[in-house]
Amino acid sequence: MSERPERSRSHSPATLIPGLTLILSGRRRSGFSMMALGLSAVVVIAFGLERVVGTFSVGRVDQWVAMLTLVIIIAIAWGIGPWFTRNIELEADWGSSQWKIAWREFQKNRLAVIGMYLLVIICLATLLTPFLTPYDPAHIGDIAATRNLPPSLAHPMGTDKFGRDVLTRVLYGSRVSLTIGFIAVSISISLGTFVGAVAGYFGGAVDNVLMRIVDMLISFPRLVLLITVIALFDISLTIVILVLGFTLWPSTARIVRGEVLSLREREFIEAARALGLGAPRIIFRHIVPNVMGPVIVAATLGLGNIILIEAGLSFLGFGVQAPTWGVIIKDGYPNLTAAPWVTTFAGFAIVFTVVSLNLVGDGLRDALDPRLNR
Amino acid sequence: MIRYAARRLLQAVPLILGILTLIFLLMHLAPGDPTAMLIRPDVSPEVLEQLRENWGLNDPIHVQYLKWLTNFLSGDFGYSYSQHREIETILADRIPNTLILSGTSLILIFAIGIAVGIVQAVRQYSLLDNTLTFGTLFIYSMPSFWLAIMLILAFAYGPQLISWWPGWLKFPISGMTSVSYDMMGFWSKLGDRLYHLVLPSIALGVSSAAAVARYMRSSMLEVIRQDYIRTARAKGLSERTVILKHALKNALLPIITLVGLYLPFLFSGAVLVESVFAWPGMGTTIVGAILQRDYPLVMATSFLFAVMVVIGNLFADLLYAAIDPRIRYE
Repeated sequence: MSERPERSRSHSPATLIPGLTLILSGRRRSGFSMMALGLSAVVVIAFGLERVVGTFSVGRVDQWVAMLTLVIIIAIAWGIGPWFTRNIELEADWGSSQWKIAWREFQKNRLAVIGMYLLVIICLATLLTPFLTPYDPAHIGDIAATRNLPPSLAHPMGTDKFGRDVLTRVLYGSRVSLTIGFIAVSISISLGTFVGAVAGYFGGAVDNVLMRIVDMLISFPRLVLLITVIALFDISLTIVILVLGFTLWPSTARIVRGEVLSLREREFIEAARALGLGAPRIIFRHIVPNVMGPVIVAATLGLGNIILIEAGLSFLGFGVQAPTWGVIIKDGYPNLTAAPWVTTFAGFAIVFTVVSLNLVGDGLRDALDPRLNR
Repeated sequence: MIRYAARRLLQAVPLILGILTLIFLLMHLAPGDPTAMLIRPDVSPEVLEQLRENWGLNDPIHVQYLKWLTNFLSGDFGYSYSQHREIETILADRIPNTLILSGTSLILIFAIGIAVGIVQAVRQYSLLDNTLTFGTLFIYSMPSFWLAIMLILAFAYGPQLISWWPGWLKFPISGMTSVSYDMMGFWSKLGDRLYHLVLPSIALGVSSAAAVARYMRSSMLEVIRQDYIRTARAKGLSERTVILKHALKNALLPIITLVGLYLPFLFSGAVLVESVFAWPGMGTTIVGAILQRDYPLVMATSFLFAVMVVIGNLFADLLYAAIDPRIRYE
């Protein structure tokens, strides 16, 4: 990949290979990550050139997203990357803000770092999907010849009973599953943080009312509450995301409230109150930033949970109609004897995503908790 | 202690009333009313209006709410449109099945979880500990219904193709009993039931067991560091006695609270696992009821799920208060 030599600032030939200068200067982990990133771009272009070029003639939205991702990867690997990494690394050596300490602690946790790399790979694969697979997820073709094929080189995860490539469906499924997860987790975490902060800060009657609502919602088994609520609507992607987001916030609210209860008594909040600041300003500017640690951990672990729950919903037939991981498992289940690989591999996709999210979440918890001794 | 128990019980009352109110409001958000089931060309609008009047659907909402509440609390859950039976009789059939499945899983969760946790804590940072840590994380991240399908594949479908596979390791694929159940004697009936319980209860329990193992490990590690354990060792007690008699008792305390915490997860999982194994419990009931828009049955089942969680939490709290003398409740 020497097509963009003009992007590198230095004149040393080592800069042509992404990460090489970093490795040579001793920062091996960053260097190898950068090299892998560059290599992935090379591989995608080398094996999927016609699909990359095809973007200009077909021009679906997901193809343009993939194209944008590819351009960004190349820009990072050959352009901004070396500069960015160098500066960040230098700062990290001197600085000692809360986040930098946490980041350094996080990097010491090998499992968490592995989880983070897995997540990056999963996200990149999701974004680059249209370039990665030669098949169409819904393309059926010659059923008699292609149905229920076991895993092979042409179909690494086999084909289902309609002759559709399972790897392609799993890759396209990740898009829906992850989109639902990300949006729903943003809704539930924001709502939970808000309710928890308000309940904890005001205390008294407000706290009592809000926490009783939380108790009520937590008493329902999550899935029972979800399917009961979803039954009231006509199922669509938006409804599934909204219902997930608006039913899963109570656990976050509880965590945040607990943190806020102790924060409320600290001097800096008292000082803010003495300065005459209003409650909204104290909550959003002084309290919420200080509970970000637990909230980020809850969000990471919550994302894994929502992916599991969404898969369960789809499996029961209450999910979206698009091929999410849950739907693939559900479709493969009646055909288990003839093509067990459909269900198996779709499940592994879920397990790997959730495992890496849990690894990162645990790592973040350890890194962000100041009470743990270093 | 008795005062605490009484107060804790009294706290559960408004919680259950709140849950009921929430269910009532949710169901009133649902489009249409029960008469919508009867809309046909041969049923005149006057008849529907009369039905609404008779069923009290024209009353103001607070009157409906109070009527519904008194009926519900006196155990009259109404009539299921989809199964054409009284809801009480349906649920009376189904609740024991769900309790059998969840109860077995609960025992499995804590037996496996505690055992694994102890082993990990005793051999901290060993290869075994690291393997188990990663293994529990892996299992913890699995969707229970997928695990159920994989178990079916590995222990029910797969072995049918392998001739040397021992017959008793071919587990049933679905249901609670074999076809010939009614012709069996008492012991073979019991055996048959247990046989059908194996795969569902493992599928349901194993992910929570992994979570319990993680808690147990850290709880045990905390206890092992304490002085009285060192004293016990210094007295020359065997390691087995130290761990299983002295350390275990205190390490188990925080684990008890997990019983209440894991009930909602357990029941969520039960909905899925029951669906996979066609287990005739509350989970399959609520899923079927929702698919058929049988709102009264949905209301009753989700209410009972919530009540079971509330009771379970109450029980766990009381157990904790009874066992741990350090905790005083005023």
